[in-house]
Amino acid sequence: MSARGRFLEAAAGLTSRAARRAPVEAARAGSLFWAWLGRTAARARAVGREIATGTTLAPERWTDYLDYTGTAAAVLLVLQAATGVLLALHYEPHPSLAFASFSAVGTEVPYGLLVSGLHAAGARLLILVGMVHLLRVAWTSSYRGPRAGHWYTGVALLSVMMLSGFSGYLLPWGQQSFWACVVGTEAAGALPVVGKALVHALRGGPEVGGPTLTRFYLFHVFLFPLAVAGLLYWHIQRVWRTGVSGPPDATARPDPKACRGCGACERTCAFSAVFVKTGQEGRRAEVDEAACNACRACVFACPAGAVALVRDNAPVPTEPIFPHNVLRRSAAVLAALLVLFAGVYFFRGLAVGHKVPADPLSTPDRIKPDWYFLAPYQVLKILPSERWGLFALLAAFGLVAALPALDKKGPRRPEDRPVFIRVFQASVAVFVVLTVWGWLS
Amino acid sequence: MGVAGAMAAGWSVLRFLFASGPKAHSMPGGAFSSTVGSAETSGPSLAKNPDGSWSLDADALPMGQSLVLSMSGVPVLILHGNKGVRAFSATCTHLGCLVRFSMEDNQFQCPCHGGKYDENGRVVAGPPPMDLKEYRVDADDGDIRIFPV
Ligand code: HEM
Ligand code: HEM
Ligand code: FES
Repeated sequence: MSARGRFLEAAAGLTSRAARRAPVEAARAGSLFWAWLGRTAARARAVGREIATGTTLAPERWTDYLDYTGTAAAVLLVLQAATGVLLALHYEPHPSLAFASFSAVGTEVPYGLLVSGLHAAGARLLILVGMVHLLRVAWTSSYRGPRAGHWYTGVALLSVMMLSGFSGYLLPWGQQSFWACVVGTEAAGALPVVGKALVHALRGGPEVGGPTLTRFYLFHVFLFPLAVAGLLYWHIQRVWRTGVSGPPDATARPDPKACRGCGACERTCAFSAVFVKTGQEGRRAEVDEAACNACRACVFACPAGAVALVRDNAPVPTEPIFPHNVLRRSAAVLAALLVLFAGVYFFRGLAVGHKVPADPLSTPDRIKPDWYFLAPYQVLKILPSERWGLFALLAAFGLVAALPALDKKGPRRPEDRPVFIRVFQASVAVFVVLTVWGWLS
Repeated sequence: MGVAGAMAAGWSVLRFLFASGPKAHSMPGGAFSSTVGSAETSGPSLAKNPDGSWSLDADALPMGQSLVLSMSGVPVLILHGNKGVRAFSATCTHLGCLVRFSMEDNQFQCPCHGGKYDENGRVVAGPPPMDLKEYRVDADDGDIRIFPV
């Protein structure tokens, strides 16, 4: 067989052993190129273990489409960078020019209204999609075991995106921008010890002014995008390594005929749910199905490909990644883009907009942050002291961020953990109520 | 078809890239007031004296009126009430919005979260943790002088 043939055959194989063999065999057949390609493929396979199988889990209920919110968020993020760079071509970060240059993009630059509308509506939608994605993975506790890092990088991503939104909101230098920035940065001053210095550093002086705009511009077009790019790479790389989590009501089950008792599954399991036992047929893996979280780590770790996800003794349905899964994800992305364009169409009229240039000597009657800050802002407003408000917010953030450390084991089915689900629903309800209250007040 | 489409798209892209933005337009107003934007160009304003105090023409502040003006970017509220001319820091001690003085209620009111201060700048309602700072004022012979610190 030719070197290329050997490579293709090995590449089509599903086991990591075949992947390891590919470069060796290609090199033996005397082709450096195919050997190199084989090594590259093997390396990519170690990262993309699910992708290497060519199949993934098929959606079973319509809610499973929410799994694709991650993909939609990634596309929206790329779009944000593209429209952001275009806007930066026309925007001037100076107090006396910012508002005029921002407005001119909408009125004088061909397609400028579209580009700035896409950026403005895209930012709001991106954060919404990111939050839905967070709720989706929290609902089934998909952040446990091998996916704790997914959650931590995800929380960091969402935080930096919200900071991007906060810094971007100042750039048009309208009345809302200016005063939202004053109140938002001032709130940081309630932190003990570092508070005052932090406010000063953020503003580049005691008051919000020209130096603040310069700083926020730097954050918005350089530091935050850099952080987002790094975190996004980290997040996606982790997702590729673990594949997506199995359905909450499934369990891993080794095939005793194929199992060789090597113990790779036992070593990889974060839930202590797989054991190798010595019986009549020799060493065989067994699963404690009550403890199994269907995380699929053992499925990918088994060199014999002997472990499968099952539910009610039937295998969990899978589908080819291409074209099935790719098409489904594309549909989800298209749906997000559709909402985005509708948003652009209606946004200019609906939003507070930036119609009045910033006036540092007059506070408008109603100042409102972007929608995702309405709830935290409302907390600051209703709690009697700034410091308590800030502590409440930090505590809530800390609880969300530390979820994988607080909830490590146990059943994943929402029906089987009523307490978690009640708390989940109550938190979402509180967030929504605070947001609406903030919007109306 | 494809070529025409590509050219049309390319043309749109070029128009965006090469549009002359406001850089080419002359901007009215000083481009160098870094703290305060275009707002300070009209209406009364404070003038700095060599001794560090700030002056305002008394005619600019008739009885029963108040003004928010900038002392090098620090907003100060000057009011002419029945106790004469007084000046306070205009920055609400809660989260930094600018207070207004209501002659009817004889108190300072913050538009943001309902903070209220009495005529002496003492907190009477709402979330502000501290009173408004009062500045010393000298109001003689047609000149109002405000002393910071
Ligand atoms: C996570 C990504 C981003 C988010 C959430 C975001 C968010 C925002 C928001 C909310 C605004 C205010 C728009 C308005 O209210 O009308 C804004 C403005 C702006 N952004 Fe971004 N942005 C992101 C990425 C970027 C990037 C990567 C760049 C450039 C390299 C950029 C450049 C700009 C510029 C120049 C403006 C001012 C002009 C305008 O508002 O139309 N942004 N951004
Ligand atoms: C811009 C923001 C984000 C992007 C682009 C993103 C992207 C992705 C993608 C593509 C996946 C694969 C599954 C899917 O398509 O949904 C995924 C999974 C995951 N993400 Fe995100 N994500 C983001 C934010 C977050 C946030 C805010 C969290 C939570 C705090 C999070 C936690 C997770 C977890 C736990 C998984 C694994 C889910 C599973 O395997 O069932 N991500 N993410
Ligand atoms: S800023 Fe004045 S009451 Fe909050």
